[in-house]
Amino acid sequence: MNKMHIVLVAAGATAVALGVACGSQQSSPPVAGAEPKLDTAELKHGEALFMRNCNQCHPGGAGGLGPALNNKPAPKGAIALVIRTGPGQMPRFSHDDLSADDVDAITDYVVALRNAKSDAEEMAAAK
Amino acid sequence: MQHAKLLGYLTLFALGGAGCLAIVSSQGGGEAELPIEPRAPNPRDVAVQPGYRLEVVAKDLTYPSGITFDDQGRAVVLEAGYAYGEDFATGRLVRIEADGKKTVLAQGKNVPWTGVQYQGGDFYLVEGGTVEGGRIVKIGQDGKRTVLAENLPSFGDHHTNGPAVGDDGYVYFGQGTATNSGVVGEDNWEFGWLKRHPAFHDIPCKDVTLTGENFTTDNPLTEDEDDEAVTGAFLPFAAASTKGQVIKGQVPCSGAVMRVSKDGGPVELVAWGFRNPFGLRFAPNGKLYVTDNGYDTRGSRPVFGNADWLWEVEKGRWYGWPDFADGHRMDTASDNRYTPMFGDHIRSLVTTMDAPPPAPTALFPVHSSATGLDFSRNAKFGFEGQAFVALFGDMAANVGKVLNPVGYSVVRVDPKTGVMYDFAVNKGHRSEPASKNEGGGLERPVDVKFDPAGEKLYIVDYGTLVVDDDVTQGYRRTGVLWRIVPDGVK
Ligand code: HEC
Repeated sequence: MNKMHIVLVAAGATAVALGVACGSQQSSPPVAGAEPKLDTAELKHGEALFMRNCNQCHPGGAGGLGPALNNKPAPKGAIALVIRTGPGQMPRFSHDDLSADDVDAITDYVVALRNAKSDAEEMAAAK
Repeated sequence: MQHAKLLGYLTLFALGGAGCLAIVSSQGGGEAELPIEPRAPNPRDVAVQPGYRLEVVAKDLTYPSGITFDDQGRAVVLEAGYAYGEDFATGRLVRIEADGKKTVLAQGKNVPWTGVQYQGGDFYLVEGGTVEGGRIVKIGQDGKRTVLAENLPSFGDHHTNGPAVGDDGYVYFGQGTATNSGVVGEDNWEFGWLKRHPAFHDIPCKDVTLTGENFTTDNPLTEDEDDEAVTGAFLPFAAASTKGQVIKGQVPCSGAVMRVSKDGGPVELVAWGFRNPFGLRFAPNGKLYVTDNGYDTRGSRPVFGNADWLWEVEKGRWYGWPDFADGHRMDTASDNRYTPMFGDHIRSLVTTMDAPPPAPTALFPVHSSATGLDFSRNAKFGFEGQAFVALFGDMAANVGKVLNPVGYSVVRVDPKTGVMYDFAVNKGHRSEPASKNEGGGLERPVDVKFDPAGEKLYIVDYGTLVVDDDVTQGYRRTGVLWRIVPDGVK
């Protein structure tokens, strides 16, 4: 076991000790047809980048290989920090991979995904 | 430990999700509670794109894998006759009559039967070939059976797939690889085929020069429990490779799209370097597209976190298997991203071949198992030019761990941008199959095809396939044929 793995296991143990939810409770209901309204070129750009770089592990912002992104009110700065640092098994995206503008566009899109999901849920509840 | 990673963990603590993937047990959709309840399909349990409705067309099918339509527009379904977990049944071509009754048009034992397309009075059928090797077969209206190609290398993990019949008189088909990432290992023993075919391995389509990477494992082929095997790429189990060794290319080969004339003749190479090129379809713009399943985190050379792919097939091109993922070279990928947490750094198996692969047209979720596809061609249905793709769903934990079930849905993809959204997905807590959420929704979509008018999208749902403590089990007579109809269409 190398150092990184020790930190990782320690991190995991702490998370458990804190009663932090992993896995199923982190997920969120999928929504068909609840794609976000993207009214700016920047958001469209964020969508395309998300599909190339993030969607494979956070499909549609829901959980998959990685946790759901659309069920927690993470501030944009925290999302950007996660993108740049790549915690755990998530890959780290350097400035060669994604520019500062790219990261901005992606985080805006993640917020749009989150809003689209809560709108869809409200509509479903109102029915 | 890099400072960046540490900072990442601290952020995760703040978000409440630290180190999840490393500590939780896998949460795949196939990991259902047993026993499985009898299947009662119910469209109301599925969320579909607003403006469309879902209908049940037929049920009680056994492992259906494909669909086509005859001259009269009748749906003809293919039953695979095989489920992972080594349940061998009979492959069948079954016509669904207006009253829901089923008429068997052909049957056979060289399973799994993976796909079918009707054209000009004939059915072009792919025999996946676990038993006798892959075959492309033409079946006439009179039932006459003509073998167009045979002995395709299908004794391994993946089979012969497809087909797509072109306007050029050729039947295009996919051939999956024997192994996960080029090296025969204990995972192949567990799947069952290494016992049956101990000398089977991947075959390159063109000459490759090996880097001499070898992998040491236990040797289940010998009685001695302490016996070890050293295995190299494109070689049989327990055969070591040397640096600079050249493996001769030949056709038919593994991990390729190939074609054969509708009248038979030699098999020709179209493109190679795929892993499991499963669904093949010509788009309205005349281009050929293929879905391809990415690597698993298993076996002697496990790979982590790569997507499934949609590729535009360019003639003569190499698409990267076994050394590239998502269009990136794995051994130099940034942040070592394809190396599993407790795995060895992934090194290339072959010295560079041809030109590097292109970027995928689209990336599907990791382990979602992208399978059959079709393109909308009719404004009445909408989304013209977009691809509709069946996501069979994860086979976790056999293929690697996931935090949530992945797939079990139909997505639509814009091939121009790679942007995709769910088109049909089960309602409920998360995207899991009916057997896991105990509802009446989708189980494992494996093929989608539009009816001849292009107004209705048919979904072939393979049925229940459970992965329990590494034992995979299929349930016969749980397959369903669904269709999605726009509100304006009867
Ligand atoms: C190869 C899979 C993979 C890719 C690609 C990926 N992620 Fe992640 N992501 C993960 C995993 C796994 C975690 C959880 C880390 C852990 O606990 O080990 C995670 C965690 C996160 C979190 C923290 C969420 C939480 O609840 O703690 C955010 C935010 C996030 N990812 C955003 C992104 C964005 C934005 C992108 C694209 C730029 C991206 N991810 C690409 C796998 C991935």
